Formats: sequence, structure tokens, C-alpha cells
Amino acid sequence: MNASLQYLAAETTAVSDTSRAVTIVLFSLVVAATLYITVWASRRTHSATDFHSGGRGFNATQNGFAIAGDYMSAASFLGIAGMIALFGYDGFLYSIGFLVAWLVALLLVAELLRNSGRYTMGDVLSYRMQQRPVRTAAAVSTVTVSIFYLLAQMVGAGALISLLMGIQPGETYLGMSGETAKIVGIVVVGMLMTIYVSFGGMKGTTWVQIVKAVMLMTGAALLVLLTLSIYGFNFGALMSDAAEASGQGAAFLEPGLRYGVEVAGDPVQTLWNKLDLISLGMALVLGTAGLPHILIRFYTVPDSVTARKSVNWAIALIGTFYLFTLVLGFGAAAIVGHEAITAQDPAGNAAAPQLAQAVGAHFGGEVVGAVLLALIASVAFATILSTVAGLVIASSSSLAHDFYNSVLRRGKATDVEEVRVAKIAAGGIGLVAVVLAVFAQGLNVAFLVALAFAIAASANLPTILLSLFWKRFNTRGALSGIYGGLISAVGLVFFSPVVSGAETSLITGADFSWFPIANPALFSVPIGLVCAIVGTLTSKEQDFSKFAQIQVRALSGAGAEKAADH
Amino acid sequence: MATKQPPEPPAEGAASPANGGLSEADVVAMHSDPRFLLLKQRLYRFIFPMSLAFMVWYLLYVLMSAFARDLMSTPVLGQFNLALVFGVLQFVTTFGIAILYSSYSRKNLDPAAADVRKALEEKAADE
Repeated sequence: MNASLQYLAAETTAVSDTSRAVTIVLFSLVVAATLYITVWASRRTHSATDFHSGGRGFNATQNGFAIAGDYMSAASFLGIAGMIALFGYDGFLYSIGFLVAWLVALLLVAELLRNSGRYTMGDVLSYRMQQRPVRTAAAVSTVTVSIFYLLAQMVGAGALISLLMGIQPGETYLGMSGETAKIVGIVVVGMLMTIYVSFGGMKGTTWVQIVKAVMLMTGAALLVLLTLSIYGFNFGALMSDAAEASGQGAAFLEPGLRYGVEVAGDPVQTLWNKLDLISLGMALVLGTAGLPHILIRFYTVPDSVTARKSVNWAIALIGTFYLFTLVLGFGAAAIVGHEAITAQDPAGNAAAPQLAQAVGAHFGGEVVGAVLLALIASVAFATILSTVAGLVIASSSSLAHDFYNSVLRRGKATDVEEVRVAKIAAGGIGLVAVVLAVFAQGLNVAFLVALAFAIAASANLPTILLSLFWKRFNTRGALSGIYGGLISAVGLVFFSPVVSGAETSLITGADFSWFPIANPALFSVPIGLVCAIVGTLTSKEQDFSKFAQIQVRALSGAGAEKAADH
Repeated sequence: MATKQPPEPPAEGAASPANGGLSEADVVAMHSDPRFLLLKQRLYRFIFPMSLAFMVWYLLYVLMSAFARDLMSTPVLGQFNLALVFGVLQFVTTFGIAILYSSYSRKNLDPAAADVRKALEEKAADE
């Protein structure tokens, strides 16, 4: 069975014109539906609370789907499925970090943040501190994390759209070469995300994320069912087929092919590789609850109990989804095969769409394969759109609320002014992201996602937790914590093989690397924490009354921001 | 709705969350009130040990994936080796802790938090 399926996959790997036509129709439907949502939401967005927090009127299920939609980027859908397809177990290891991280958000952050903040992460960080410096730091950190994450998504989007359209090098489709299609993809995604955020605000963005999460879960579930049914719902048989087809044998089902690789005869490098794996695990687990676009989702519900329930929904959805990717990855390894996957995309990003095509062809011939491929491609497209929109609203809200209103206008700006600035900021961020992504499209920027998690883990999470739980914490501590974590995470990556000194580096032809591992969190999280503690203790400032207030508010929900009543 | 609220924003008004009609002094006094201390004790008693537990459990998993590969490759059931079982167990514990926390909150935290809120709101109404 395995051999005939692989033969089938090889035959249908090239994207047919049927599939492209269906893909374009489905892409257009996704765009039309999301724009309709945006227009609908824009009519219902009046106040700053509507714009930044969607009026705080979403229920737990809606926000749970929106969180899942915001979090499960194209990188985690196509990237993890591809990683499992190529490296087996290690792709699964990655997704476990992404899931366990939600316990930090659930137990330590979601409810307390909802109760004590208003629109942004900066609200909680600055509550006890001198407003202007801390809010500036919060805005710097928010925008840095969001832009890095955004850039990785946008560059990926360009490549992905050209991949999903199946344009081979040297070939053109609708007059576009693969390179032109990438740029068109980046510009279209940039324009759409700016429109969603500027017009739809948080309401529009949230609904786009909900629709995407439903599409993603349905599409993935369908593909999982079809894949498993080929194996008579025997997952063990699928795994052995995958291990055999991968050419790695049993090693495919064990850790070590991608992370913590053991280099024969080089114990030092082996140790660094293993520390890199631990560092990555740390960034994933501690970073999630410090990502600004995730944090602001907790403000879109009426109260902290709903925030808790929405995190539970998110955990259920995200956990189920990562179990799906395990089937999809092993399925692609077994049915599509290593060679066909790397031929389409060396990083394996096309594995899930390729699996859709092969499975569809198995059940209903080439046309069904083409339709299923187009379906999964449009799910991936919706995935890109909703994640980038979440990142844009996080950074434009922070620029407008933390920087413009609180720092520049000292809190005197009206709602109307603040929302106007947020919309302009969304346009500015969209433009910057498009220009950077077009220039960076030839570069290997996948590391930016891990870097965004590392900054969130080193700069944001420690300061949020210390603000909520440490009585002595003060302005200098918060500033040292944020800037110390941010600078050490970015700095260590700058001097790592990611940027220079290796074949896959960002800059080739120069070598100024001395930090041996790609993921900085193992060092930058302790550095950020120590900076926050030392900064606090070297400053005399302490405001016990403010500490008492944030704790009473955060724990009990007294005086918390209410839902807007329209 | 936020726009209609304060006619005259307090110093750094938009910068600090709205007061929700509570006086600062009442809120500060509540910090040492037995009702709040009970809430805080119940919350801390759950979230800190549990966070430590799942972090250690996850770290053990990552450390074993990095350094105990021979052990992780031990077959457990058919195609399932220890690494896969351990990975799936991380899912199980994550779901389990979320369920446990939700039922703990419903029983112990939500009523205690409601007591604190009610006490503060009554005080605000009296003034």
C-alpha cells in the first residue's frame, strides 16, 4: 500500500491548473468573508474600548477560538507538520512546548491581567510605577516582539503563497513568476491586515481569528480522518510506515534528528546543541504568556472568570490541533515521502498541502486531490491573515495607548484621538512590515519567531510577574528588567551562528559570532530577571499602597474594567 | 462605556486604570482584610506549587529528550516508545491541570473573590 501511495503522490506533486483555479476562488472567498466581517465590525466600533478590546463583549468560547486562531500561526500549522514529516519526533517536541506554555498563561497571567489592566500589557507593568518611562519601555518591547514576529510571518506568507500556487522556478502563472508572486503575496497580506485592524479594530480582528480557527480545526480534522482511514485507523501502522519511508528507521520516532543533534567526535558541539534544545524549550514555555498579542486577547472578555474559561477553550483547541499535526506530519512522511516533500520546499512547509493532495487523489482521483489541496491552501492563507492582524493590533494599540496618550499627551488625549492614532499606527506598521519583508524575503528569517518568544520570556514575563507578586518591585526594576531582557535576547542572537559564521547564517562572508547557540532564552531569561531584581534593590523607590491596590484588584476583580454596553 | 466616564480625567487619567468608583484608601485597607488574605492564601497555595510542578515535569521531559535518548527509545507498547508516551503524558497533564485549576477556582477562589468585591462595593455605596 505504501509504495503505491508514494507513486501516486509523486505523480500529483505538480500543482495542476484545476487546483490553482480552485485555490484562487477559495482565497478570494476568504478575503471577501474577512472584509465583510471588517465592514460589519467597523460599524460597531465607536469607543477606544471597542477598538482596543472589542468592547470586552466576547464570550469564553469565542475568545477561546480567537486565542487559538491568533496563536496557531502558519508556522505552527505548516511548519510543525513539515518538521514532523521531515524530522519525526522532534517536531512533536516543539509543539509540546507550545502547549504546556498555556499553563503559565492560565495559572499566573490571564485572570490577573484582565482584572488589573485596561487595553495593553503596559497598563499592568506601569500600574505601580512612574508612568512615562515604564510605558515607553512596554511600548518598545511590544513593538519589537510584534515586528519580529510579523516579519517572520510576512516573509513566510510570500513564500507560502507562491508555494501554494505551486509556481515552480522559471515558470509563470497569470503573468507572475515565483518571485513576483512572493512580492504580490507580501503586499496583499500587508494591505489586508492593515484594513482589518484600521477599520475593524479588535472586533473585526477577533472575528477574523474565530473564523480562521474554525476553518483550521475543520480542515485539519478532515485531513486527519482521511489519512487515518487509509491505515484503517491504526496509528501504529501509520507510524511504522512513516519511520520506514523516512529512511531513518526507529530514530524517526525518537528525539534527536533536528534538535540537540549529537555530532560524532565533537562532545563540545554536542553539548551546545543539547543546551540549545533546552533553551528553545524554555523560550516556548515562558514566552507565550509574555506575547503582547496574546495578552491583549484577555481584555476582550467581560471578566476574569470568562478569561479563565477562554484559556481553557484555547488549551483544548491548541492541544487537539497539535495532536492532529502529529498525524498530518507522520502521514506526509509515509504517504508523500521525504523526497517529494523536500523537492517542493526544503523546510517541509508544503508537507500538509501535499498530503491533502495525495490523500484526496487516493480517494477520488486527481480532481478531488486538487480540491483538497486548494482547501488546505486556503486554510493556510486564512491562518496567515489572522495572525498578522493580531500582531498589528497589539503594536498599534500599544503605540496609541502607551506611547502617544500616556507618554506624549500625559494621559490627556481623548478616546477619539487615541483611536485615530491607533489607526494611523496600524497603517504605519503595515507599511514598515511590507517594506522590511520585501527586502528580507531572500533571507532566512525563521529564527525571528523563536527570538520573539525569547524576548517575551526574558523582558515581558518576569516584569509582569514581579509587578503582580513582588511588593518591593519599582520603576528602576521594571525598566532594567524590560531593557535587560530585551537587549540580552537580541544581543545574544546577534552574536550567534544565526546571524554570522555558519552556512545558514543571515550574513554570509563575515563571522563575528561567539555565542554558540541559536536560542538565547537559557541565558537571557536569567539575565532579565537579575536585572529586574538588581534594578529594584538599587533604587529607594517603593510604593506599598500601589502594590496593595494592584493585588486587591488583580485577585478579586474589584474595580476592573467593565464590558462596554451598547 | 469608557468615553462617558470621567468628566475630568484625574492626573495621568488614561494612564492608570479607572477606579471603578472605589476609593484608594478602601482598596489599600482591603489588602490586610481577612477576606482578602483568605483569597490570596487560597490562590497562592494552588498556583505556585502547581506552576513549579509542571515546570519541573516539563523540564524533566526536555532534559530526558536531550540527555537520556537511550532510555527514551525504550519500546513501551508496539510502535510507541517512551519518548512518545512521555510526550503524550505532557498533553494529559496540561489538560489535567487546567481542569483541576478550573474546579479549584470555582469552589475556592470565585466565592472568596466575590466576598472581597462585595465588601468593597458596599463600602463605596456607604460613602
